[in-house]
Amino acid sequence: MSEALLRASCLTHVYSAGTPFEKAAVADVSFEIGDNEFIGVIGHTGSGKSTLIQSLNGLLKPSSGQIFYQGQDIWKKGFSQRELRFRVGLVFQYPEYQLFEETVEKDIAFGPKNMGLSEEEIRQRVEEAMYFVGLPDRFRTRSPFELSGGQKRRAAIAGIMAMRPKVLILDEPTAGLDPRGCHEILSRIREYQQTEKITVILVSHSMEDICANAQKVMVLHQAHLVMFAPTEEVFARAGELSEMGLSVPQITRVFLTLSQKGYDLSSVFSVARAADEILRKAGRPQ
Amino acid sequence: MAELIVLILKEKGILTLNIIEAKGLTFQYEENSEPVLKQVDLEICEGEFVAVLGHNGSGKSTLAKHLNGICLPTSGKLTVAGISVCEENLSQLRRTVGMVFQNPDNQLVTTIVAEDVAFALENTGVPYEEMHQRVAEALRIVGMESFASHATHQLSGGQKQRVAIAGVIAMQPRILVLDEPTAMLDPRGRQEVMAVIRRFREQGMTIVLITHFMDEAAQADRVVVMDDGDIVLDGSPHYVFQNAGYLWSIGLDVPQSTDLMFRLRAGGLKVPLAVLTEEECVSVVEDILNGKVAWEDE
Repeated sequence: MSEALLRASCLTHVYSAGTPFEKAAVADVSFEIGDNEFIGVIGHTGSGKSTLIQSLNGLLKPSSGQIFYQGQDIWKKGFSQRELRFRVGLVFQYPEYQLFEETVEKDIAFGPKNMGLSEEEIRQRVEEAMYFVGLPDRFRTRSPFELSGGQKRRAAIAGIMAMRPKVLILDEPTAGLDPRGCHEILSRIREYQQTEKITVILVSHSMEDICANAQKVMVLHQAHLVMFAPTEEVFARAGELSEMGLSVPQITRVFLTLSQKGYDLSSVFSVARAADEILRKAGRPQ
Repeated sequence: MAELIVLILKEKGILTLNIIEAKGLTFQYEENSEPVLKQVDLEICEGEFVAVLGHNGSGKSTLAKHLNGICLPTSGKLTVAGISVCEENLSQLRRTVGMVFQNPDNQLVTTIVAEDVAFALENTGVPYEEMHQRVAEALRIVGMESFASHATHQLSGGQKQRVAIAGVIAMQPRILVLDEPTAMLDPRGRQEVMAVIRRFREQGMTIVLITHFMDEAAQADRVVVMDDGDIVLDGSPHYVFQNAGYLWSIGLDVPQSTDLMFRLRAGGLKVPLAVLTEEECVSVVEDILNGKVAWEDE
């Protein structure tokens, strides 16, 4: 049996254990994630998303349960945590606040340098990462602090990509960006995922972004993993999502209302699919 | 009597009182640098709920920062509630215009909710009794009264942002300016904050909401679109979002319902384009499915 790239088994994380504030942020969560997947993670604030993704690359040690990377328990003696951080790259929310070097190039090179790579290899990886996030070469020698908000964000993402992780986890990579900025970053990430055949885990509050990119969606609610299924299946359960305080895209709600009114329509979560479906149903008269 | 006459004239639309008036408003960070605002003309009536859209760097936040004098005009004129925006009038401006920013964590200063809401009141020497009343009232308006004695750090993002709004509202400003107040919130937090904004709108407060979310702009009375330091579109949400092609070209978006109408029109159906809300969209699609919408060249 081949081992999953990442596997969580009965993962539980309790904060402030043994105090009156004891609270399980993640409770009894199990799942498997394979190679070259694009996973969306949704759940409202406090549902356990951040705790979960920080457990995946070993930043947080679970209170109980296990995480396996390529079949190996990441908390077992002898497993290299350091190595894991290079393999499972985590881009935090507002990563641009973590830029610190004098130049964009040095900032992106920080990870590869720590990996002990040769100068030549580092140079290549910086170049490649800048290409993937769409930062022109002339930015290489600039201070990251001279960049615009969207460019800083991309430089920060490039810093993680330069380590060539097998899994790239992004926590709200488009928060605060304008519509074009969001679209650009996400299409770059998707292209990167497809070219490099890596797995991307995207945490987002934007259901539109999740719908447009993810193949499978994990739904976290009150510390539990309540759904983990292909995107269509998850958004077909819009009623349940709303009850959990999650929104579904406007277009999905429109179609749901119409179905409830008795129209025979499939559930959709993209405007393009909705238009196709309506045009087909309306049937242009010959 | 005079007030009554003004009221009647306002009702009939003969007299409109602009609470915000910008004429040729220009702003540069440094001399010889590219202006961030270029000769902006803008009039906002008392009680209007105006959403300001624009991509990052379009000048919308800079415009907002002028309204209470965080930025001062390099040239041109800006009057807010009859007060000219300049160095001398800052304290008066800050009492008239309440500002709410993006990051709730940067706006809370104390550890207890009620104390946070009282912070500015205390600083301005509001009597103790009145302060208590105003804090309670402000928390009630934002729906956070049951959290008065809670610790601020244990609140969710949406709750924190509502507390920040309560702190601003307790000062009883005439104008509320919100600069992307929901950017860092989850869907529930966004809904909570928008519900509070709509409540203020009903009470007749003037609201300027800077946002990247098209569905939020669709709820306003009026949408102002900025690009490259100037206003490029200004009108009702229905009017503004009909210009989808233009909005896309300047890096903005339209609500999904509007997007759908454009696609259906491209597919040959003669649907109206001014469709913003879920309800409007449902009704148009029903018409289509019932064969009530004609095809092009039919």
